[in-house]
This record gives sequence, structure tokens and C-alpha cells, in this order.
Amino acid sequence: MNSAVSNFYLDNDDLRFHMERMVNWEPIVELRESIGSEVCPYDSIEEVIETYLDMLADPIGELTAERIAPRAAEVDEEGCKLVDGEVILSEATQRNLQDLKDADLMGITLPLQYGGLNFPTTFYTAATEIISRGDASLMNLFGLQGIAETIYLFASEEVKGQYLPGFCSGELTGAMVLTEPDAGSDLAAIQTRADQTESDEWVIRGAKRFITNGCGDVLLVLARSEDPNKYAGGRGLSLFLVEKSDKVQVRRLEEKLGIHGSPTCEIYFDNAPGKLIGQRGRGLTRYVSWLMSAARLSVAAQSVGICEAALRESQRYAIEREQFGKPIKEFPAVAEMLVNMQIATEAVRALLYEASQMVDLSDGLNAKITEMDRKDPQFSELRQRHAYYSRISDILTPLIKYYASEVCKQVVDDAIQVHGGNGYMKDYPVERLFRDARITSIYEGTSQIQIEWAMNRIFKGNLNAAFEAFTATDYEDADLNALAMEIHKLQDALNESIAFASSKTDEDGQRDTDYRALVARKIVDIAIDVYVSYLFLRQAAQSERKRLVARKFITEAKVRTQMHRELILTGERSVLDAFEMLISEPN
Amino acid sequence: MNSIVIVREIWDTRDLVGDVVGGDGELKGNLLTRFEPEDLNALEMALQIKDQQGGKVTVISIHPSRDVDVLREALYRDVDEAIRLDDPQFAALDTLGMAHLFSSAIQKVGDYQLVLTGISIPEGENAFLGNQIATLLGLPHASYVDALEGIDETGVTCKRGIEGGYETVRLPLPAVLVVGVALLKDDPRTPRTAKARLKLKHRKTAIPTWGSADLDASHLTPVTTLVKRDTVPQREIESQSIDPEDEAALKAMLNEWRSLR
Repeated sequence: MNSAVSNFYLDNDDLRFHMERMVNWEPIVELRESIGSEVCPYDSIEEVIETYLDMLADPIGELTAERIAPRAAEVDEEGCKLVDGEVILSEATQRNLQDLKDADLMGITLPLQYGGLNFPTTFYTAATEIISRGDASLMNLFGLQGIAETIYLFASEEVKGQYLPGFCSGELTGAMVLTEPDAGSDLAAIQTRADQTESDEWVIRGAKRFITNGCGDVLLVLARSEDPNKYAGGRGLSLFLVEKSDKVQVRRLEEKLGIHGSPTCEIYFDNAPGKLIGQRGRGLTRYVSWLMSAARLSVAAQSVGICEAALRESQRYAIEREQFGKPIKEFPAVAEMLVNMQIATEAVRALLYEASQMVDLSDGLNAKITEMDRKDPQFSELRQRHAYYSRISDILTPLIKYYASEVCKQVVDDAIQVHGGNGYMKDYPVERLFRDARITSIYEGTSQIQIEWAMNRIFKGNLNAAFEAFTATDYEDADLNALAMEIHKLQDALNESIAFASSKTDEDGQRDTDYRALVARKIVDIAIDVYVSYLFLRQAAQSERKRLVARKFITEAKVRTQMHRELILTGERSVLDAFEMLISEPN
Repeated sequence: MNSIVIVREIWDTRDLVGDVVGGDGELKGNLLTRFEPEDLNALEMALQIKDQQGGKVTVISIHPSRDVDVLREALYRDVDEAIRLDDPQFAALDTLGMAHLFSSAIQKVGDYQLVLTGISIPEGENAFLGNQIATLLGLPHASYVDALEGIDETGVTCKRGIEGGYETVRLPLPAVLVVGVALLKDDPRTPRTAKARLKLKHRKTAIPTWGSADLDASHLTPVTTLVKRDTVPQREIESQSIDPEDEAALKAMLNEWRSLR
């Protein structure tokens, strides 16, 4: 790497702490690389890990710091344009994409045979965080690698061979084409039709909106292929690959609050030819579900990247800006904001990389057992391990999407506050970060949708396995074991809240599912506090500074948890019982 | 269009404070090294010519690598060939000795139109190495080159920094260009990063080493020897902040400046 230049990986102590000391790479690498085989370019696991860390520094950290970040303001100002049906990206975004292409970073997780790097999700997530810190809007294009991965996982060999090399080289870009005017969070309501012609070819007809990079070369389109009378809702939807052509018309480009570098398109498919991906009727339930999970992790990483950028801008400003004869960082009120921003960023980062590791282990084991003979003596054990990691990754993905995006909004809000009046002006980057951050809790499933997903899994006990591993840990340190006891109490509060919400009945003696939905956010917040507390405790065993962080976080988590628990146990449901009255005009 | 680029690994002496150079000229403390930044600019220039016109880029460096293997870094950026000059006899060369050695290596590589190197920080940014190589090879040269304006088989047109501005010069090929601090492209201004797939490919690629037996080793005795090095004590400046709204404070500051003059 070139140490003469700035670097968004090497300058980030907390990210390096995670990558170099907290992430347990060995089992991930074991599943991903067949060390010793002819096709594997590495001789040892250590060599693979060394390569990952080296690549985070150069090209990713260096490229982002030296080229991508300096262009962010220009990207934001220029935005995208629609000229005669063609989407024109800002010149700076085009340069960013060219640089990513030149550095071979457009096929990070795809196998070497297609021109990818075959790196794990945890690496890709860190890359996404770093790039988003430089330019949040670029994540929306860099993060589209999930499109290619969906093709890799579910399409035929022919389709893979046809498209994946183009994705890896950066020659092709893609889009995930799901949302419609009347089908946003409720994707099962999709109306776009896929019909078979007499020659058994598929053609797609219908309108889609809010499509990130809808102008891309290869679109994965969710469309209704089955008779609604036989297969209603999600079961009637299939996934199709549609190439850019004159039958795919970009009718409008949205004018957005933030992420101006990312083109958000309204598209009309005018009997555009499509290729079926995987099996009919599994579009939403299997393929899009996988794709959305991947996208959620990317948005979480984008949120952490924005947090990091906002945090640094604020710290710099609070040192330079003097009022009443001293730097504003010396005022307790400002110092508290800065510390809270820092710890919040570290908290989401901790949960982000916990989630990404679980995804890697789950996906890696799934790939292994898929190609394994069921009679293999290892099969049963691997299947059990897969079930374990899959349950945890299934809940951590919506949790981190919700948590990271909500924290991100708070951090950028505080960043503006630290900057005072200057922060409200376009002269400082926090104004852009504030606008860019706002989408994170909306797209790829709103926070409310994530909470609902997470809540269902919490009630199914998905977190228990992860918590059991933490509670069984002896930290061999009196202070840390004492902190662990505190977290156990938070966990008790979580269990008590879950028990109350799940057993509460309404006036008719039926299970009060509305109340459960009403308090879902509070329960999910407690669950996150418990999980992050455990993660900070694990970090505290590795670092003196993290002991301080853990103690502060757990102290505050106790108070938050107590408040949430008490509110849940009141059973107060006026939002449900007296909604009309509460939102009506005073009388 | 084939280019040969001289690349060097130098001490990373940025942000150093205090007495870091001993009287014997040895640098004290646990210093790391870095890719000579202007050599990296020279490499970028060669790679851009290759991007546009094809051809081959060869990089040559001297001495074993310490922290940053500049030759491997060059391979990660898609050069075609990397050569290390290394021999116990090369340990104490002065710049002229190095120029002799590099000239010999350049002749051994052969078939080139351009030789590029950076204006090196350790040689006081005087572009000595490049100029001496040009003299030894009998080639035209330009130093402080910030941008190439055109290159074809008849020659190269480049923009070079001079005091108070720039001048554009044209040289016949082959030629030696000593590249300056900035490429002066509109954007990006910085040299390219490594390519991920080349990093996978070249992590263990063997880099050939040429020793005294492979080169003209008749100028290995240094003409210039180091007697001692002295550091200039750093000036200590107390910073002051003035409220721009405070007219009295601004006047006091101006008065202080006047008194200093």
C-alpha cells in the first residue's frame, strides 16, 4: 500500500480493531477457501486474512480517501439527469465507478472463475462502510453487487456465464426492480405481469418506481407470473432478468432529499423480454428475500459509514471552533454529544460485524451442505451448525438495519448541532450527510418493517442461542464478570417484557397481537441493548479503552431498558383504543 | 510506447519532531518507509501512456525492500516487468553511482522510448538522479515535468514547472523525464491505487534481481561521501486566535506585526 496518502481504513482505529482483532476470520475462511487445492490461490488461512486486511487498506481505504471522498460534494451538487430517456450520472460519479472498476472492486464476493475476488460478506460490508464514509450515494451503486450474487446463487449456469464476468469487470451494472406505485413495503401486492408467449418466451409488462439505478444494464424484476386466482399474493411472483433495451423505458428520475449521486428511476416495461431466474413462484419468498437481506446489511454498513464521516467532521469542528475563549469541545454539553456520537457509532459497528459474520457462517455452511452427500458423516453436524447461524443471522439482519439507520439519523442530527448555525449551511459537509442519512431508515424496508421482522424472530427465540454463548463466558476478570451480571439483568427484563407482551389478552380473552405490535419497538430496543452490551463486553476483554466504553454503554442501557420494560408492563394501549380521539382537534 | 520507471522506497519522515538524525547521518527511531511520492507520479504517467497507446512499462528499483515493496506495488498497478538491483557492493552508492547503475540496467532492459523518475525528496528535490541518468545515456531530458501534453513516435511534449509558471517543451525520443509533484490532470490528481486482482496474482510473483555481475559495476565507489548531518532546530511558533468581530484585537494584531517587521 502507499503510505504517502490518506487512507479511510488505516485512519480508522475502531474499524481496524474489529477487522484485526474482533472478527473471527478463521471459520469464515475455512468455509470460503479450499486451502491446499489447486484452484485456491492461498497457502494458509493466515495468508487469506492478511490479504483481506491489506485489500481494505489498498485499494479500498486509499481509493476512498484519495479520490471518492474529495468528489462527494460535486456528486451531491450535480446529481443525475434524465436526457431523452437516458440517465446521465454526474461526471464525478462516473469517475468513481471507473475507479472502482479499475481497482477490480465490482465483484468482491463472486468466485474467481467469473473474475470476482471470492471475498466474504464481512469484507464486503467493511468495504461498503469505508466507501459510504467517502460518498454515501456511491454505496447505492457499489452495493448493487448483491444483484450479481443473486444471479450466482439462483440462476442457471448459462445465465451465470453470460452475465457474471460483465458484473465483475464493472462493464455491467444492475438493479433490483421490486417496488411499484401501490406495492412498496407490501411487495406481495405487485401487479407487473410476466406472461409467456407462444414460443415460451417471457415478456414483462408494467410500471415500477423508486428503482435505484433502474437505468442499469441488467435488471432483476419481480413480476406476477402466475394466475392470481390460483396463486395469490407472494406465491404468484417470479424473478426475471431483463436486459436494458428500448422496451425498458426510464420515464422519470426522482428528485430526492439526499444521495444525489444515485439515480432513482421510474421504469415502464413494455413487453420487455425476460429470463426466468430459478423457479416460478419463488421470486419473492426465496430469491428477493435473500437479495433484500443482503441489501439490508449494505444499508446498515452505509449508515455506519455516514456516522463515521459525521463524527469526524464534528470532532474536527469542535476542536477548531472557539467560543467564549475556548474550543467548544471543552463545554460539557458539546463533549457529551461527541462522546455519545462516538459510542453510538462503535455500538452499531459492533452489531454490524457480528451480523455480517453470522451471515458468512450461515451462507458458507449452506453452500457446503448443499454440495455435500447427505450420507457424509459430517453432514448432520454441519446442518445443525447451519441452522444455528442461520437463526441468528435471520434476526441480526433486520436488527442491524433498523439500529444502524436510526443511530445514523441521530448522529448526523447531533453533528449539525455541534456545528451550530454553520452546520445548517451548505458550506459544511454535515449538511449533505444529514440529507444522505435520512433515507437509510426508509429504503430496503422501513424501520417499522424491520422491527416487525425482528420481533417475530425474537418471539420464536432466535436470539436465545446467541445469548447462551455469551452468558456461558467467563471473562476471568472481576470487573468484566460484574458487568456481565448487569447484562444478565437486562436480559431478564427482555424476557419479562416478551412474556408480558405475548401473554397479554384483549377484552375478548384473545391474544392481544395489536399490543404486541405496539410495544415491538421497545422490545427490539431492549434486545439490541442486550446484544450490544455483550459485544462491548467481549471487546472490553481486548482493550482498556473499550472497558470504559462498555461500562458507559451498559450503565445507560440499564436505564433505557428499565424505562422500556416499565412502559411495556403498564399495558397502556390508548394509541389503539383512543386513536381517533388522540389525533383529533381539541374540543 | 515502452517506458522504464525508476521507483524508490524512502524513509517516511513526515510528521517527525525532535532530533531524528544522528551526527553520523543515521536516522534514529523506528522509522517506516514509503513509496517515493513523485516516483509514484512518474509511474502513473507511464501507466497512462500504456492505457492510451499500449506498450510496456518496466520498473527498476534498488536495494531490498524494508516495509513497502515498491516493485510489488508497481506490479499491483499493472506494470509488465519489475527488476531489483541488489548486491552487497551497492550498499554505499552516492547519487552518481546510482545513476551509473540505473543507466546500465536501462540499457540492459533496452527497447524503450521514455525513462521516467520522480524528483526525489532525499536528494533535495534537485532531480539529480534523472538528470545524471540522461547525461550518462546521452538522452535529452526535462525535469519538473507536471503533465504530458502529447507523445508520438517523433517526440514528447510536456509541461514543466519553472519559477513563476510553466513552460511547454518538446523533446525527441528516447528521452528522460523527471516528474514533479502533481500530474496536473483535472481529476483525479492522485496516482491510481492497486488493482485487487493483480494483488491476488502478484503476491508471490518472483522479482528478478540483478547484481554487480549483471551490470556495469565500474562506478561503485562513491565520489561523494557523507561527513556529517546537522538538523535545523524547528521554529517554535505560538499560535493566536483573534475574534474577527473584535476590532480592537485585530488592530492589536496588526500593530504586533508592524513591530515585528
